[in-house]
Amino acid sequence: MSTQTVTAPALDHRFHILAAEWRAATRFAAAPSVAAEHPAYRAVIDLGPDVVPLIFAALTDAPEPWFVALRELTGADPVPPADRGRPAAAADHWLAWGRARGLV
Amino acid sequence: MIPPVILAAFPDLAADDPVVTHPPDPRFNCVAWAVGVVDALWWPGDPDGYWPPGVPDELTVAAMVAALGTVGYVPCAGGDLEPGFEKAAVYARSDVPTHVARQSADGRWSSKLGRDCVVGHATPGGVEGAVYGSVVAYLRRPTGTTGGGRIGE
Repeated sequence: MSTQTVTAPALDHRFHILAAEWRAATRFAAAPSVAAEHPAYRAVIDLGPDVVPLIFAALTDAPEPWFVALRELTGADPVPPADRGRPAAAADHWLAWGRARGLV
Repeated sequence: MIPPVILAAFPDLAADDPVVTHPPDPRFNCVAWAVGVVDALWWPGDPDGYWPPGVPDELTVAAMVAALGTVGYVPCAGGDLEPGFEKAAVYARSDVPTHVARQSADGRWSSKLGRDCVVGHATPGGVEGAVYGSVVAYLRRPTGTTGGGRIGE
């Protein structure tokens, strides 16, 4: 994947538009997978690996369920089984993974 | 003050004495809230959810009831307040679980709305409707029941 850390303004704008649409549409869903199936979420993934630093920035603000996107975009999964289902812990593992690669 | 977006999604809430008791928080969901956990998403069949070992990992009412059973809940007849017990209500649409609310000691109900806030409401019907469907099961456990529901325990 790209290790680009300065994203184009257009990508940044597009990500935030899609993320806001996704948050509004899935805010009341209990299941993380439901959130990840929303078209706006899938559109974020379609933006490609360059969007990963923007997702990490969002994760820094709140441990929202961006983990499906991160797995699909990076091919990695740094969350140990013991922390599955714990969003704050999962976000910490992902942010550590991102920092180690200069993506946060 | 209930945000308009919540009243739009849950129109019956307006007449059910709603109160926001906790701000939006993506770290836990409704099932975790009913169990008494505030750092996990309890949901079956989900790579980013926690589901108690030994419970069918499937999105069915029976599996939801079984998961709540791991923390002491057993099925009961209804949602009326019973001294000495706390209750949970399982909601479903077309038999697919969507939500769990829990009863407070004063008989009111409390719902964690997805990643959004926790809302108190007078009756289980307050959050019934298009989003969560309707209550399909009631459960109860002795008041003060703890343990067994937290990841790592």
